[in-house]
Amino acid sequence: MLAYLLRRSVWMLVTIVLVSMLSFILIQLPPGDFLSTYIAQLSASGQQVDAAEVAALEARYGLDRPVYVQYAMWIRGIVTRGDFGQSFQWNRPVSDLIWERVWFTVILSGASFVFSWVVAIPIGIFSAVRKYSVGDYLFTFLGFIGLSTPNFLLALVLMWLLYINFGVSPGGLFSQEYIDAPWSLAKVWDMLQHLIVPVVVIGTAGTAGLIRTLRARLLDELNRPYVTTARAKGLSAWKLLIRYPVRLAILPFISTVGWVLPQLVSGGIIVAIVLNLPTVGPMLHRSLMSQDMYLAGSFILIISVLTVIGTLVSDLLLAWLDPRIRYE
Amino acid sequence: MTQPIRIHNDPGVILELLNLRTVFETRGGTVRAVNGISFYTRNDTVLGVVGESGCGKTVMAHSILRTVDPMGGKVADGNIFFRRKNGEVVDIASLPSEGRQLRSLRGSEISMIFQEPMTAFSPVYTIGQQIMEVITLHQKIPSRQAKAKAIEMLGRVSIPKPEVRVDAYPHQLSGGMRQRAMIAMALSCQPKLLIADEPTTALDVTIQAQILELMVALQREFEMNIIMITHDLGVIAELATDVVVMYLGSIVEKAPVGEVYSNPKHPYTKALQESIPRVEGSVSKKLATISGSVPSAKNIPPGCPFHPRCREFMQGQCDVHVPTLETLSADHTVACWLYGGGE
Ligand SMILES: Nc1ncnc2c1ncn2[C@@H]1O[C@H](COP(=O)(O)OP(=O)(O)OP(=O)(O)O)[C@@H](O)[C@H]1O
Ligand SMILES: [Mg+2]
Repeated sequence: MLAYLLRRSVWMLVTIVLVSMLSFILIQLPPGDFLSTYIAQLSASGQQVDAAEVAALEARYGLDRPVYVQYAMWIRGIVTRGDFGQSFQWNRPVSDLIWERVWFTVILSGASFVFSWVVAIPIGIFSAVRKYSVGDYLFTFLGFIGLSTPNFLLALVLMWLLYINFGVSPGGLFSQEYIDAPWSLAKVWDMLQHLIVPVVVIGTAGTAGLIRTLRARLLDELNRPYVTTARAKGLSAWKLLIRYPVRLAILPFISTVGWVLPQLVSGGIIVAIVLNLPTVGPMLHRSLMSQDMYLAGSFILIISVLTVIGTLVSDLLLAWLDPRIRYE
Repeated sequence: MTQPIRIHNDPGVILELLNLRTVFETRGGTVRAVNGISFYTRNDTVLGVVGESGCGKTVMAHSILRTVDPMGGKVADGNIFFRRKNGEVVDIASLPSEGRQLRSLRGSEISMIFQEPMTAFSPVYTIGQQIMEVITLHQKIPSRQAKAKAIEMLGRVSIPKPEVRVDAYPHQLSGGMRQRAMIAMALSCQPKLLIADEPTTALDVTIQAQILELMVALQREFEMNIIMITHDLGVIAELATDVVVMYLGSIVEKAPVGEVYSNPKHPYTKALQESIPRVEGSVSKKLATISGSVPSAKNIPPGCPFHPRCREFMQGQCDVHVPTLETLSADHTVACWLYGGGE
């Protein structure tokens, strides 16, 4: 088990290094860079561009050096000083801009993930055990409606309902008065209220699929001989269900834990824009458009690191839950 | 058609089925998997149950434990009388499905082992955990004691190094070892009745013999009753004391094992007998296979279920009237019009 952990950790490091290099190169691939775009903008508006100033900027960001030197400088800054470089567009250090968004994204994906499991697992179990019952058909019907409703529409409807009934101001993660306020219990409570809509919207997006898959998996497991063996021991119906078929049916889902984050970052952009959420998605999108390379590169790097860690955690969880993997 | 209920008068009888019917309601119609069977079994015997594939052996076994209910089956009629360890006689057929009383019998007074040793254990728990589960379920003992008991049982079924194997996962054991572990689990609460549904079919021939030998030895040691389901008459000859022959959900003949081989009565039993490959001298005798195929349990022929394939079929009798079990001698009964069956 220890050797397994060690091997996995080494691979994790290698993956992170490769991903960070690749993303850095990819970001630089389009012709031009932020500075040349900036200069072009300035001269277009008739402003004088001081050649000395340009040179100073270039030297400061290392733009006059080869790409690999830039990469090395950037990584050294991160590792030694926690300095992710400067965002050109915002004219602020990247580290000032990203952390809050990264944590909100992590909180949001975590909460949505928990929400979808808490909803999907009991329904999936019910639908499998009471196959073809009225309830099974009802959940199937609801699931298809959920699958075919665009997320942003659901987001708008929920925001409207919440505003009409509870006066919760729509959009964002905080009410106006809390945005710049220091952290307090009231602020957390305010945030939780604002989290409901995004969590439900993002969570339900995966719920229908999760229910169908769990139902199918469980239907397979319910007829396995080990279930009959366990029943012949005298276990009660509930204990039997949870300890035997359900225990095996959920195994494949454990490995999806690691994918939650990138899915949210890449798939949740429209919802994040509609709901005005301070997540990674919209800002990453903008920084890529404007070739704000250190900002975009830092986002991609952090998301990759979190994803790789997530995958490692889910693999360890799976190995812990499934001895057939552990003793390979 | 009222039969005497023996179990009430004879303390040696531990299980008695009366007119048991188990059906599956399917889209294609009602499957009469067990179609009115009656038999009883006495203490310390090994009752062999034979018959072609699909004749209802497995369904009968699952009816006795009522594990047919969750499989979509229903005990539609009849009684399953069972004498508990405390002497009380219960009718398992009338107990509420998956109820407390039923569960208190399973694994503790009646155990079952199955054909597939590869898949009969859950892959995610150790052998020991799965054996301990049945022990702690029926006996209020701490888990450390349950583990000691599990190790002891693994030793009893001749698994080498039981104190190590107790922590092994099923996939770490061979098929034969797994079936031994299954037997250990089934016997860990000292049941009075062990139902074995083709326990050796999936194993190598040499392992088969070892497992069967082990079962006979344990049957004597634990003084229990075994119902051994198989379609291998060779297995029956080796270890059964009595034999029930089933055909399409019915019992056609029941007799002590010697009688079945030396003096079979029912045309189906005779045909089964002749279908065993035998070597006489140097010339191997040609197999007499039974003509025709088994009809579907959805569509059981009227009269005697065997009449369409019977060599001694009597027009107007066998295809109209259902023969009942007729007692020929003390322990030999047969359901066939050749022997005047019926009232
Ligand atoms: N879950 C089920 N649903 C519908 N029909 C079933 C079900 N289980 C068994 N049957 C039917 O009941 C009949 C008896 O089956 P059973 O499994 O008891 O046969 P068997 O004698 O054990 O055969 P084998 O020797 O192949 O194990 C068969 O016709 C089978 O198709
Ligand atoms: Mg069978």
